[in-house]
Amino acid sequence: MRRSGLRLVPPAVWATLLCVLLLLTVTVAITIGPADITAGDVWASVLHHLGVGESPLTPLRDGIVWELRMPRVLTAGAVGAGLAIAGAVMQALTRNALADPYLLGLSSGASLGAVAVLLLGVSVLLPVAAFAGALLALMLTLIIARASGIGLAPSRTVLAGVAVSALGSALTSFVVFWTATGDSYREILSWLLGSLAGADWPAVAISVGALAVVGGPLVLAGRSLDGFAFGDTAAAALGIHVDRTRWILLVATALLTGAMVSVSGSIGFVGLVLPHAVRLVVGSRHRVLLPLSALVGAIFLIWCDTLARTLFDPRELPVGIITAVVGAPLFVLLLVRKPLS
Amino acid sequence: MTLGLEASGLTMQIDGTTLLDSVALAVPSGSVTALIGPNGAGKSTLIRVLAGVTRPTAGTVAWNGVDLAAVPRRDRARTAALVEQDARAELPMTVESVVGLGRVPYRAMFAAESADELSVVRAALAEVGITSFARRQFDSLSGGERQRVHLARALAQQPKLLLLDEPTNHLDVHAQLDTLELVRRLATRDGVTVLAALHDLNLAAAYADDIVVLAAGCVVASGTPDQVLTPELLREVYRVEATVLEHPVTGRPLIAYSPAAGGAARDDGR
Repeated sequence: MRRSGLRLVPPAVWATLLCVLLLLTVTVAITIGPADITAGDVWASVLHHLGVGESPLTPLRDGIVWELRMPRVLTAGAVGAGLAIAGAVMQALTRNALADPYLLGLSSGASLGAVAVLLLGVSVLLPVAAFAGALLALMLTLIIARASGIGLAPSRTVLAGVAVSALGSALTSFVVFWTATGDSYREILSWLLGSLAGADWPAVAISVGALAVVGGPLVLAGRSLDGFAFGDTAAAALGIHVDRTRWILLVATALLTGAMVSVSGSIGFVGLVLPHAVRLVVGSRHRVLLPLSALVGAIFLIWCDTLARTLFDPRELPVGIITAVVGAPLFVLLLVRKPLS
Repeated sequence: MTLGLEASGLTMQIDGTTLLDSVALAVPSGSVTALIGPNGAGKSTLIRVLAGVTRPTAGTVAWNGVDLAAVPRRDRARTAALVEQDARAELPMTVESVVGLGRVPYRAMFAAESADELSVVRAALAEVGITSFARRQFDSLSGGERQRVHLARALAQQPKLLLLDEPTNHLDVHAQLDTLELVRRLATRDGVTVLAALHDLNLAAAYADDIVVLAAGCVVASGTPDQVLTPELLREVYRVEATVLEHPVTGRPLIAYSPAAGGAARDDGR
C-alpha cells in the first residue's frame, strides 16, 4: 500500500524535505505577480537588506520585493504554521477530530476582539484584543458544550463552536458595518474570510513572534499531548497534571490564534485539515506531528495566498475562499476514508 | 518486605452519593488480588482512587508505607500503572505509539526521545505477545487485542503495582486465560503487585492469591479464595444460589451456579 510506504519514511527526512520546500515556496511566491522579478532578484534583495552587497533592483522593484511581497509571504507562512499547530493541539486536548480554531469559534472571537479595538482606535492593542476575543470564545464554546452533559462530547463541542462562531461573525460584521466609511463590505469580508493583503513588517513581527514564543513551546510540549490520547483518566495515570496542562495549552492556543487572526482575519480549514493529513502519513506522536504540521501549514497558506492575490489580478480574493475550496474536499476525503468519531 | 499496597478509610462521595465507604484493603507485594463485586459496587472508582487518578474524599493509599498522595505525579506513574476498561482513542494511532505512551512518565517535558524508549516498548510488546501487530492501527484491532495493547502500554511503564479494571472483559476464553496467566507470571517472576477487578468469579478463584469483595462501596469480605467464595457470600452479595466445588485439576474453588427456578434470587431481581 502506498500509505504504509509513506509511513516508512523517517520523520527527519520529511522535516528536511519540507524545509527545502518551504524555502523554495517563499522564494517562488515572491517572484509571482505583476512585476517581473526572478528568484535571484529576491535573494539579492534579501542579502542587500541584511547588509550584504548591493541590490541589483531599482528602488521601486526592490520595494515590491522587500516592502510588499516579502512581509506578505512571511506572514502567510507564520499564520499557516500557527493555525496548523493550534488545530493539532486542540484536536489532541479535546479528543475531537473536528476541533480547530475556526470551527470552535476562536477565530471569529478573535476577529471580534480585533475590530472592537479598531473601532476604539487603539490599534496597538490589536493582538491583545484578538487574544482576549479568542479566549472568550473558547471559554464560551467549552461552557456551552459542557453545560448539558458530562465531559466534552465531540459533536456537542462542534455545535457549540458553530453557535459561538456565528455570533462572533455577526457581531464582527455589525461593528465593521457600523463604523467603516465607504468600502465596509470588503473589510467585513477580509475579517470573516481572511486576507493577508495588509501584511507589513509589523504583521510579520506579530505572527512570527507569536509562532516563536507560543508555537515553539507548544511543539516542545508535544509529549504531554500524547498522554491525552485515551482521555483524562489515562492521562492522569501517566503522571500528567490534567487540568493544569489542558488549561495552559488551551490558553496558549487562544494566544496563538489571536495573534494570527489579528494580522490575517479568520482563515478556515488550515487548522482542521492539515494536521489530519500529516497524521495519516507520520502518525500521531505530537513531537513529530506538530512541527511537520507547522511546515505544511506554512507552505499551504503561502500558496493559497499567492493564488488569492493573482488569480483575478488586479482584484484580490479573500484567502479563506481558497483555503475552503481546497480544504473542504480534502476534509470530505478524510471523512469518507475514516469515520472520525 | 511484603508491604505492597495498603489502603485505609477510603471514602468517596460525589454530589451526596457515597461511592466508597471507609474501604480498607491490603495487597501484599508480589501477589495477585482480585477485586470482585456486583455491577455498581464501586470497583472502578476504587481502582481509580488507588491509582491516584481520583482524589478520595477521605482516606489514604500507601505504597510500601509511603502515602501515594504525597508522591509526585510522575513518580507515582512509574510505580503504578492503570489499565482501564475498553479505553478508546479518538484519533488514529498505531499500536506501537499506544504502547509508547507508557514511557510518558519517564520523559522530561521538553526532552528529546531517548534510545531506551524503543527497547522498553519492544520488550513490552513481546511480553504480551503482540510484536507482530506493532505497526497496525489501534482502531482496527478486536476488543481482545486492544486490551492486550493496553496491558503492554502498562508494562512499558515498568510498574511495581498494576491496577487492572476488568482486564478480561470482551475477551474469548483463551484470551482471558492468556491475560491472567501473564498477570500471574508478572507477579511471580517480576514481583509486580497486582489488583484486578474481575467479573468472572471462577477466574478470580483460579488466579488470585486473595480476593476482596466490594458491595455498595463497602468491603464485605476479604481473604483467600477458599475463605471468601462461600455459598453464603454469593447469596448475600450476588443474590445467586451456588455450590462451591473443588476444581479437579487445580484444587481451587469452582463455582457452579444453580438455576433460580422459582427461587428467591429471581423475585428479588424484579
